[in-house]
Amino acid sequence: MIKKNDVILIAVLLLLSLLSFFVLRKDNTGGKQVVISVNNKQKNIYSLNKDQTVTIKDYGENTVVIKDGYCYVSSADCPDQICKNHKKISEKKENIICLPNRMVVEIK
Amino acid sequence: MKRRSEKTAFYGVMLGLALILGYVEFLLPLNFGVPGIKLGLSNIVTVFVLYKIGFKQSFTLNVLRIIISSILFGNVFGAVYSLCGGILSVVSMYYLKKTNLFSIVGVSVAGAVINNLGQVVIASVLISTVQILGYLPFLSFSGVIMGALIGVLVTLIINKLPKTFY
Repeated sequence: MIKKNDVILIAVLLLLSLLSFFVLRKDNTGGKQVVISVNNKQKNIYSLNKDQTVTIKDYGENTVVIKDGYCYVSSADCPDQICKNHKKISEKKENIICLPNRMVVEIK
Repeated sequence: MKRRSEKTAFYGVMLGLALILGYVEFLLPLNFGVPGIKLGLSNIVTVFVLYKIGFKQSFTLNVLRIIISSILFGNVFGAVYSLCGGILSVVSMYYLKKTNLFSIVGVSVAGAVINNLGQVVIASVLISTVQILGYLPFLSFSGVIMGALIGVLVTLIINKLPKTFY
């Protein structure tokens, strides 16, 4: 059932995914900002330290909440609700993406 | 040689099977907290048809399955990403199969990873490059696992089926 080449292939792919995990890790250099972009164009920047609620209505509707140093999506009208179920983000390079509404919320 | 009506009926059953598997996935809640990780159960049919029947049929069934299930399960926007991944996946599985270097398991693993890669590529083109790439490690890892599982399943199925099955 399994050939030697399969094992090599699987090993290479696992190695690559491990490597890419370390390459794309988060970094910590203070003063965090929440950057919201739609369709690859930056819309607005908010401070992570200031509690606020933002509603994005470009493609669908998403409500982004910044509270106690965390950022999350409290409601969205997309069918898969992946953005809403995402855990709260607070570190640089962390992001929440809503693919149907083409929205990216990222901490920078 | 099978009659046309028999073939049509068979393809219909395969498509129905793929859609049901997609529905089962749809019912299961988000598995690991990382968005976008799907089991890819429908690909059991894709790989099976690729090996038992041929590339054209596997390709067509996969495209049809993606379009129909996106309409049925309410994620029409998602169809663009799935189509890109799915098409790339079947095409590359066909060529890998032709090399005769890998077993069904290896081909399935490659197909799964390329499926996810294709989705990441088109998502980064449409939305944003850097952030989407962050999902690559998780997606390629789960692709290897699920691809291997599906490859093993299809191998077992093909071995258990009578030779006269199709």
